[in-house]
Amino acid sequence: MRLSWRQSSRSQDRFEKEIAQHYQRRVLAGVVVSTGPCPDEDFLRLLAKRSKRLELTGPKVDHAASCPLCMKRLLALRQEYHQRCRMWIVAGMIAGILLVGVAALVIIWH
Amino acid sequence: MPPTDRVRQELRWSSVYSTGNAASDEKLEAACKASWSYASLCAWTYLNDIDTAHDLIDHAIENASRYISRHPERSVDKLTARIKSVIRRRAKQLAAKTGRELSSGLLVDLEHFLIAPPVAEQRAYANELLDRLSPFALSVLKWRWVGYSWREIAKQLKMDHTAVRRAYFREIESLLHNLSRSGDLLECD
Repeated sequence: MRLSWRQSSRSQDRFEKEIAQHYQRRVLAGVVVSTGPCPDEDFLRLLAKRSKRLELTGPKVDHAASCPLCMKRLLALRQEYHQRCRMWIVAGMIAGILLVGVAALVIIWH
Repeated sequence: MPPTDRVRQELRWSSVYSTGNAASDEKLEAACKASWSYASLCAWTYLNDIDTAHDLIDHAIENASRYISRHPERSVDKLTARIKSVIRRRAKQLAAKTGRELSSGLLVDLEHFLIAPPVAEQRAYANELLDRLSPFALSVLKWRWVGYSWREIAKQLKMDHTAVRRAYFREIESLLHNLSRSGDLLECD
């Protein structure tokens, strides 16, 4: 029973990803109609970060996810955000290794 | 929802559940209007039947009219929160009564979509599917595309995350099932 639930969940996740990609292709091709004006850069930045301060049910989110221009910008901002996150993680790891190394040297020295 | 239904619904709100106090009736009407979209959402999420929203809101208004009669000083916000809470509870009760899960579509249809068809057919399926999605499911798809988790989405909708996820996949599986049965695919783009 548990195994089948896990399988189903995995299928759904995979399927969801496929559908999201199709949706993205459609928006970028200009097939989807978007309403209202484009939101500003700050809003898109918050959306790329998946900020919890944003109201998902608002028209701005709906527009950003259906306008080709906003979607392109959002994809770029998202990539930028992920790169920055990755850089911080690497920097944190290097700092941690250095700290442990220095601590080990101090212990050995004494 | 067609406009005629909305007019009928508003007429029913103002006439059937009158508290006899104009100020309370005004509050009740404002709270009902604010809760209508939530009733639709609950009907979609828990019951897979958007028309049940009328029954849900009727039940909640009946409850709220008694409440406002007892506490006429309560604000519209409090009344709205109470109505939404009653709607959610009622929807969960009805869902439990009708047998936990309404089967509509099979997981096999998802597997079929993912494994079997060639790219062109898959794209045609996906286009058809996206065209047929309900506004609720389309909104969920957009929020998921943006990258929000099920929990974050459900929190904004004031719902349980498993219920939202289940309702979304139930609709997709049902649409896929219908598509694979009828074979009425549109041309590929």
